[in-house]
This record gives sequence, structure tokens and C-alpha cells, in this order.
Amino acid sequence: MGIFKKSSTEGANYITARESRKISKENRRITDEYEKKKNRKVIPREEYITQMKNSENVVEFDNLHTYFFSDVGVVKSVNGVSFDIPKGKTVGVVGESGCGKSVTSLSLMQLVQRPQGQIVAGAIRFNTGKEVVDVTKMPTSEMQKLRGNKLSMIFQEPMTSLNPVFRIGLQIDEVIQLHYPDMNKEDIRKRSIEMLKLVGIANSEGVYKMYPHELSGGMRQRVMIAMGLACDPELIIADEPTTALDVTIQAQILDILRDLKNRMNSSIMLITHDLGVIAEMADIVVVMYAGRIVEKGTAEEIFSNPSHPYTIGLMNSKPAVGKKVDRLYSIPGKVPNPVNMPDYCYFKERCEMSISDCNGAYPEQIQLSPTHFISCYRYVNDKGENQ
Amino acid sequence: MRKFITKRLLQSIVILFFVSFIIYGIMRCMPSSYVETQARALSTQPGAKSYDEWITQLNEAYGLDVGVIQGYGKWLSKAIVCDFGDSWYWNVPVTVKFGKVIWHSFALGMASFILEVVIAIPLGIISARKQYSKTDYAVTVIALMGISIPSFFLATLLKYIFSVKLGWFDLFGVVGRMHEQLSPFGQFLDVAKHFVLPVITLTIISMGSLMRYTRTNMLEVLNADFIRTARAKGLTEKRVVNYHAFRNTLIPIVTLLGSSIPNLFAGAMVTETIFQIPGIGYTSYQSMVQGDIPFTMFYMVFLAFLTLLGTVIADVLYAVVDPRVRVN
Repeated sequence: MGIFKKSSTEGANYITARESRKISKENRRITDEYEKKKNRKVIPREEYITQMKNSENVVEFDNLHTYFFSDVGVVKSVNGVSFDIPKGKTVGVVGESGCGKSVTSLSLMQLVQRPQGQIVAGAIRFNTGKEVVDVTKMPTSEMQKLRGNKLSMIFQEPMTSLNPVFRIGLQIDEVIQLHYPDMNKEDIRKRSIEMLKLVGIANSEGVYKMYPHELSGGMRQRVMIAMGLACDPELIIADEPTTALDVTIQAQILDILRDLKNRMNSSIMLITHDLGVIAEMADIVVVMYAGRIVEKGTAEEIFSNPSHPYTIGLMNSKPAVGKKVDRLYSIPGKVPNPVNMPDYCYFKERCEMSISDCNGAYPEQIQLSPTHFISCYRYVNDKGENQ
Repeated sequence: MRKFITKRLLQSIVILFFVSFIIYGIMRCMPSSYVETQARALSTQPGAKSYDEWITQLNEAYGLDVGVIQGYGKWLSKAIVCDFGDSWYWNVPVTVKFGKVIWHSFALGMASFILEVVIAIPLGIISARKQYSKTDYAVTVIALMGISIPSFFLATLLKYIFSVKLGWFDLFGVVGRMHEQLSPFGQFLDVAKHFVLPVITLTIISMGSLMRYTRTNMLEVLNADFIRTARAKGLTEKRVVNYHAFRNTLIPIVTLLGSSIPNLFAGAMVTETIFQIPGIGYTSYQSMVQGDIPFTMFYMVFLAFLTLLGTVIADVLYAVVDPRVRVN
């Protein structure tokens, strides 16, 4: 009667309905707890007011863990990420799709899809100019005062990121009005038009009255940037701002971002998988892989001395002018299943340089220079001499 | 916009012509015509003429001695100047009979339509906002129950509870016993009171689908990128849902509501019969069964006209709520 014997699905690539139910029930229990904590009527200010480790930073991610409690198991999208964004600098976050770069930025905005997505550990300290807050512990009502005002985000899909039924003007006015309630209508209008001019829209008065569908992708992304910068933010998060645009527009958008950053003295967190964009824009580069930082350092260090095998692979897989190759290099294999992450180095299976030590636990972060950090066993003993 | 509406209205006239022709053709092809029934009844009377003699005489009298196309032509030539003739079954001009019964149905339809919109849309939005919560499940279960319960069962249940057990409302009819003695305002209240149960019945039955529809659309909109943008601007959740998301949800809902305008006049046969309300649902059913061509033609063409008007209105409203379809 083999039919009635319970077959084990361990090691199989699927889970049974029974297991899935058990997981969802457990997830519900966990997320309810987080939601309860989040939805308390009164959250005392002491809970989220904190101090920066270094006052030169505008944001400090400290051991951030953002998990998604899905029906097939817990997806550890961001699994212990720590890096700083100094004032007035551009920090580039690179990594392939699904490595947790966007989730890191959404965590900073408190825009992770709840209740499935939760920040389970760690802190994100943000310097608003007046005080320092821990975004992970902030109540939503307080967070709304920061979003769009001190912290603004530019999304990767300009085609769908603007509300199709409202005029451009209204959508920009809205954010100014929200954060500067004392301004009168005429001033708000002037400010919106000025912002549109600032991002290089020639016919700003006309565009002010247009609907999103009347604009091209590049124009819409400019409008998004105008909207993001309307309140002079301390930090601009640009989540793949040029991915959906063609190359000439890409360059223009990047120029605008860089120019405005300098003018407003704000910082940029630039998320992208395009190393060319990073090379052009970033002062500091953070390389992420499967929810963790594998390497971080200044742009110069990362580009002249890429040390982690993953970073080296990324560098090799980018087309370069003047270099003749038959086929563009691509890193073999694929990202491990996010539900069951191995307990050794996540990159080991795809790594062409793995050594016997790699079978050990996930490598600790090693410092190669004052600013250059890496998580790889190859550098444990000889501090980067072995290249 | 004006050009667009004129074009659509002209198209409607052509469609109306063919629709009325098809209806006339079907009416003429019905297996048992009004004339045949009459002839059969008359010929069984003592000392009467034979069935065949009666039928020739009646066919001539009712204008059925010509073919379908000529008959239609005859009907059309009169209908064009708004002369729809006398009803064969009700023995009064078609428009008089229609005017007498339609207002009951319209009042029923309008009241339940308004209630449906006022209740179903907010419920749909709430259950979309709290997807997979207890509220969502409760609303969904109630909606599905509303869709699944047959109207005659629900009506009977309501009558049993509110009329028989509690005695709040009369069992049936549109007026109470003391109607004639009441002041005009009292008379109005009396009729309104009689409409309570039928309106509840119709609302519960029709609410479910609109609620589900709103929920689905709202869920889709709430997952859109521009909603995330709105949140990233720092807007409150209330403003995000009630302003940014709702305006987008309106687009499909308006189309649905626009096309439900003819339903206001279509009557509800089962409900009207159970509550003995002399409405259009019951009247049109009787006319159709009896083969009353003038009345059925008038009513069907009227509904076809409303359906076409409904789609034009839906298109116009669509352009009002969605700037992308505005024609220059």
C-alpha cells in the first residue's frame, strides 16, 4: 500500500500543500506580532530617536535584516547589510536582480510590502538635519513627514510611476503642499514650474498642465526627479533611474542628478546593475549578492582593485571599449534559492576561485584598506596580497 | 467630443433599426400568436364561425395578413412618429399602459441602484485595503451569499421575518389599506414603506457583483507603481487610497455603471411578482406570453434604446474620468 505512505519531499523542488499551510500559519503569527508592535497607538519618541555613529553620515545601515514571510518559506532579502552614506556623496549599490538592493532602499523609506515584508533586525539611522531617527522603529505617521521631504525616491519605471489620471502640475504641487503647508497656491505653482525647468524641461508651463501619457519616458523620469527634489531632500534614493530609458536619455538624466546633487548638497543612494553608471556617478560602491554585502569601498578601489570573485566577475561581464572578446563573459550558475540559503559563502557554488576554506561558515568581513571591506576567505590570512 | 457623441448617436439609430426588425421577426415567428389564441377561443363559443374564418378575419383586423417585412414597415412608419398603437392584450394605448407601470419599476430600480453603489463600492474598497483580513473574508462571504441566494427565496425570507414575525411591513402591494385617507405626503410615505422589502431584496442580490468588481480593481490599482510613488511622497494612507487609487478604480466602475442604466427600467419580474407590485417586469412578461406585438415591440425597442444610450453615456463618463481616452 505504497500510495498511502507519506512520501517525504525533502530535497525536492516543491513543498506540499500541508507544509505550505503550516508555513503560512507560522508566518501569520510572526507578522502579526510585528504589525502589532508597529500599529501601537502611541510610540514614544525615545524609541526611535537615536545618535549617529559618525556625524558626517546622513544614513547608516546597521546590520539590516529585511525578510519576506512567503508561503514557501522565509525569504531573507536583506540579510545583515551595513554601510554608510556620507553627506554630499553618491553611494552606488550594485548587484544582479533579486540581490536585495531595492529592498534595502525600500526599507529606508518604510515602503516594504507589509505585512509579508518585515524588518526583523538591525537599524537604519537617518540624520534629518535636526535630529537622528531610527527609521526601522518609526511610526508610519512620523515617517510620512520624512518621505518626499527629507528622503525622496526616484523609481525605475517612469512609464508607470506617475498617476495617469492627474496632471503633472497637480502631482508636483501635491508634494510641496504636503510638506510646506504654509505656502500659498501661487507660490507652490511657481515652485513646481521652477522644478520642471531645473530638470531640463523646456516647455515647463505647458508640461505643468499635461497628463503623464502625453510625455515620453525620459520626460516622465525628469518629472519624477522634479517631484523628488521639490522639497530639497537630504537624501535622494534613485532606484535604477535609467534602466527603462535609452542610452542618450540615460546620460542626460545622470547629468541632471549629479548637477542637482551638487546644487542642493544632498546625498544620493544610486541603485543600479549598470557598472557604467556606477563608474560615472558613485563615490562609494557597495556590491551586494544574495542579500549581503560582498564588497564595499570607494569607487576607485572597486574599479581598480576588484577583490571579491563576484565583483571581478561583474567587471568581466561588462563590455569594454577597445577590448576584443569573442563572447562576453558571464558568471556561471545562478543565484541560490532565496528560501534555503546555504550556511557557507553564498557565492561558493558559482565561484571559480574557491579554496578549501570556503566550505566553512559564511566569511566575516575583512578590511583591506581603511575604506575597502570584503567578505571572502581568500583574504583571511594574507590581507589581499594574493591576487 | 460633440462630434464623437453625434457619431455615436447616429450609429445607435442604425443599430436600433436592425434590433427592432429582429425583434419584430421573432415576435411574428412565435409558435402561438395572439390572433390564433383569440380565434381558438372565439370559435369554441356556441354558434360561432369556424376557426379558419375567425383567423382570416382577425388577421386582417390586427394587420397580420401581410408578411414580416411589410408588417415591420407598417409598424416602423407609425413608430417613427411615436405612435406605438394600442396594446392587444391590455386594450389601452401602449404608452398609457407603459406609463402606468413603469414608475413603480423605476422607483424600485433607482432606489436599489443608489443603495447598491453607496454600499458596494465602499465595501469593495475596504476589503481591498485589508486584503486577506477578517473584514475582507466577512465582506466576501456576504457578497457571495448575496449573489447566490435566489431572489424569490430571499424575498420570502424577508417577508417571513419582517412582515409575518415582526409585522413591520405589509406582505405585498404598493399601498396600504388607509392610502386614500392620507395626506399627499402620507401617501408617499405609505408607498415608500411598501417598497422597503423589495428594495432590500434587489440591493442584496445585485450588490455582490459590484462589490467584488470594485475589490478586484482596487487591488490591482493598489499594487500599481504610481501608488508606491504616492506613498513615497509622504501622503497619508487615506489620501493615497481615497484620492490616488480611487480615481483610477473609477475608470472600470463607471463603464459598468453606465451600462447598467437600462436595468433601471427593465423591472424585476420575480421580485415584482412576489411583492405584487404592478411593475414593468410583470407586465412585459404577460404581454410577451400573450403575443401582444405592439406592447412587446415598444418595450423591447425602448430597452434597446436605453442600452445604446447607456453605452454612449459610459463612453462619455469614461472620457471624463480617464484623460487618456479623451478625444480632441
